[in-house]
Amino acid sequence: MTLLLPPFLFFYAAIACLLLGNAKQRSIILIVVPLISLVWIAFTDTGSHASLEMAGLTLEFMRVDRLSRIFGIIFSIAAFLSALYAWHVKDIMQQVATLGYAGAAIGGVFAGDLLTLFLYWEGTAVTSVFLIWARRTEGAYHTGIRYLIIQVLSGVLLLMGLLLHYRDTGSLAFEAMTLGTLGTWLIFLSFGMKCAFPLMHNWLQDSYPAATVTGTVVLSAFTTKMAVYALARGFPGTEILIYIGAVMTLFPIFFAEIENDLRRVLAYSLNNQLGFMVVGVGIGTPMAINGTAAHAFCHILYKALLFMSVGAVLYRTGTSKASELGGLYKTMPKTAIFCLIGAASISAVPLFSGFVSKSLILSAAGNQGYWLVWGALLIASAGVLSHSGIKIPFTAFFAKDSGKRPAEAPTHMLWAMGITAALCIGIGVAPGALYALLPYDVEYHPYSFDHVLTQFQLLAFALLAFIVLMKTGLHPHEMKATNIDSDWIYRRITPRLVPVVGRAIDTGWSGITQTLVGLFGRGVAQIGKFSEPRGLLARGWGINSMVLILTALMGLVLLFNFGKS
Amino acid sequence: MTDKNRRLPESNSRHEDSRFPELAKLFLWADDEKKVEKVVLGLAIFCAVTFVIDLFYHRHAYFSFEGSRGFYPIAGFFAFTVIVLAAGQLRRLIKRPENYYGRRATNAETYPDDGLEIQVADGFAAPRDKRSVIPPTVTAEVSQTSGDAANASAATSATNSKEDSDR
Repeated sequence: MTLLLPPFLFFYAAIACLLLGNAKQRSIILIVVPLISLVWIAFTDTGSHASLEMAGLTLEFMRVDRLSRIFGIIFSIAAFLSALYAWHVKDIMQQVATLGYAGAAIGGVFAGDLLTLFLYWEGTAVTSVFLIWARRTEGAYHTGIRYLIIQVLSGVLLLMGLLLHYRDTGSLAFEAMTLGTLGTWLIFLSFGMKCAFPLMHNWLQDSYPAATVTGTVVLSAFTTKMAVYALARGFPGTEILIYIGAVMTLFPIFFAEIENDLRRVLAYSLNNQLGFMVVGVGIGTPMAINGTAAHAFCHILYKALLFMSVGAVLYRTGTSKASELGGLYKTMPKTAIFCLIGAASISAVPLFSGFVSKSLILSAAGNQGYWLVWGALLIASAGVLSHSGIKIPFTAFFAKDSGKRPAEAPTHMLWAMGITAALCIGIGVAPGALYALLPYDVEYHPYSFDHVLTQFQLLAFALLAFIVLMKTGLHPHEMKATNIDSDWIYRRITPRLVPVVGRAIDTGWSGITQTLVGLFGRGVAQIGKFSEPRGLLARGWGINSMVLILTALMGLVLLFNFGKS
Repeated sequence: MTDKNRRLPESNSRHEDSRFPELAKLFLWADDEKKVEKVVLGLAIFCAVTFVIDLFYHRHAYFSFEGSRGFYPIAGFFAFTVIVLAAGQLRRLIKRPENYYGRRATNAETYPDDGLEIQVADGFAAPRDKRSVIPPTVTAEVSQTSGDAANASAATSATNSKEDSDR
């Protein structure tokens, strides 16, 4: 029975898919397996369901508690929805990778010890990269390599950290830790890399837009939210996270604002949403942790919905660049409506899912008196409206008419988007079911008059600002461009500097060695001169001068001895 | 902005409207300036109403500054404006040509056709420009036309330099 648990189920299915020649059969497996997993996770009791004694260590593969359960549930739902969205895909590489990736992410969430977590941590890296490589272009190949290097590096840090942590504490159990030792810092850093902390975030914006149409939807759900879970499990209430999270909510919005590729805009937006969750983990109160879990849940759905709608546009028109799109609502109205629902959800419009989850985090920050962080989150909320709430639907489906008249998205994509949209609205209208799943029992009512009023004020006036900026022509235009980010350091300047620095070292080294060899040679020649026939040391000395030298030497010895005493 | 994508003469003409799906007709106001004006007016009224409520209604507040009247409307308006304007300035600093990272990035790459199902909606003619929506019956031609990638990248850089000088 143990071997039929959800993560393993995904791996068997992946192996079965490798052997199956029929693409449609594989698609069915991809849809059914997450549903079985969802039912198992939703109805199973809390507790440890699979452990293994190995070399004196206890490995816990299946720790189900309320924190891991909500992540397991949403991961299963996300796997199901993305499989439905990818129903048309015949590419065995993507299908197997999706199953392995979803399985690894679910396994990571239920890992009860750090070693198991490490295995799944690396598992998500090596499976997900195939969703990028599956695009099968030179650019995607190199992007995949960059992605893999960073993901595996994160795993290596985790391994180093857990070994040091084991040496310090004698335990591998994955429980709340306090930062202090080198081991815990390495683990923290490893989580931070996958969670796209500022300056460690570039892999996300680099790789997600490079994946396949369906691959990006899959990618958007798992890796980063597994990292959020790991932080919520390992470092709740770690104060530094509050500030890291606040920075994370702010800086990506400026990049998202001027990015042309809508899938990259969404990647920046994802980064910003992760910031809200990280702030929740940092505050660490039951309400804040609830906020993080709820926000991860809602975020996976509306972010998938937005990626799906932009993916459908890419699928039908061949581009996801804002500068080449516009006016698509005319022939893709259903996709446009689903996109608008996703946009409303991420902007936290009342009655949509983002509203009931984000407000938990903001309330937690407010209750704890973090006014600066609270203010940052509020500004970031206006930013979210700007790049995800307005820019995505507006530039793709409205704005200037691109003249493109693409067919509506295929039926299965519409179904996937429709179900996701229904969930977004359902959670927004009746948040009780989601709140019941949260890790802690907390009474919270998002629909107070104050709260709805202030949210509408914030959003309506931000929308007004958008209109003013558009009318006055101050709003930046969409244009074809690559905007550099801090990955410029390792993608551009370091590769350029390496040869220069190499040449400098080479020149310097050879200069030094040549000088030294020359000096040595001259020294040897001097010694030779002294000792050659008729040289200073080789000729006979008179007794008088010998005595004189001896006397002088003895005098010196005396002088030194007296000097010492 | 170039008008490259507007090769279809009838794209913007009114007589095309009747061929859109019923659902799309719900949004046709978005292309009608006068109706957009009305929607904007509606939004402005909505803003005014929420602002007025704030003047008379006492809210529960976490912080004193947040409890002051008109805080959220002002915060929303100014945060949005500052973000957008700051992003515009940021662009001057970090904007590079689309193919800046060359072939090792997907930024300037076209998405391979075999992963897509580019299709034009029923009853619409396909635009003639490259990599626009092309009817399924002529997909064979696509592979031939996509050979002139060099032309496309030349056009891209030309557009970029033009935009640079515009600014």
